[in-house]
Amino acid sequence: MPTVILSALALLAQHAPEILEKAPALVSKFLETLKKPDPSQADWDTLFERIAKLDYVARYEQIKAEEEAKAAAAGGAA
Amino acid sequence: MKKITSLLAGALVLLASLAPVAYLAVPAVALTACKTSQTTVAFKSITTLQDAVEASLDGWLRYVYHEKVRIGAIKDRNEQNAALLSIMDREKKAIDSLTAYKASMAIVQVAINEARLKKTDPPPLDLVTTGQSFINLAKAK
Repeated sequence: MPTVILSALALLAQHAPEILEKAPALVSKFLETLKKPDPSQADWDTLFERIAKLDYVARYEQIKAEEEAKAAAAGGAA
Repeated sequence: MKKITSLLAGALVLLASLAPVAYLAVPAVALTACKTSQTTVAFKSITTLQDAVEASLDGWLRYVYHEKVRIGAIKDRNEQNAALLSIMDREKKAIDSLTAYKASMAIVQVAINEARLKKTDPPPLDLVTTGQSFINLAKAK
């Protein structure tokens, strides 16, 4: 399992270095998770809702909008 | 339980590889794992995996966006079409992997809900399948 996740990350990071920028946030989230007490049904429901809501196209559109806004801001500053 | 623990260890290695500060989390996990139930360990493991999947997906999608911008600027039509077909093919693989991940997690959800209803510990979960769909997402590149 560690090999699987590490290989996946290494492959992604080759072409998507932005993933590394997310590392501190990921670690914070992880530490937050560790501090949580025993999960309630609501916690489980929230987690599985997050998983169910993962949508490739919708997320792509959101990222595209973010990247275009970044490019526009950089263009305006130049 | 063994698989869940293995998953947790995997997630830790993943996080540790991302930032040295994650090593601080190791003793915390060890302590937490000693005094928590299997359900809690399962919850924390799945949450961590989901965080990693979301971060990976975001990284991949940013790559796809920039790749499409680059392809849009290619002047040679044949080269442009070939590049477009290639990225579309890789995106299809990524979507398939994401679908597989969600399907695996739906099975996990049923198992967890059943265990909660019966007030028992969750059964060992086949998260290797889930991890496999995760690496497929990466291979889509």
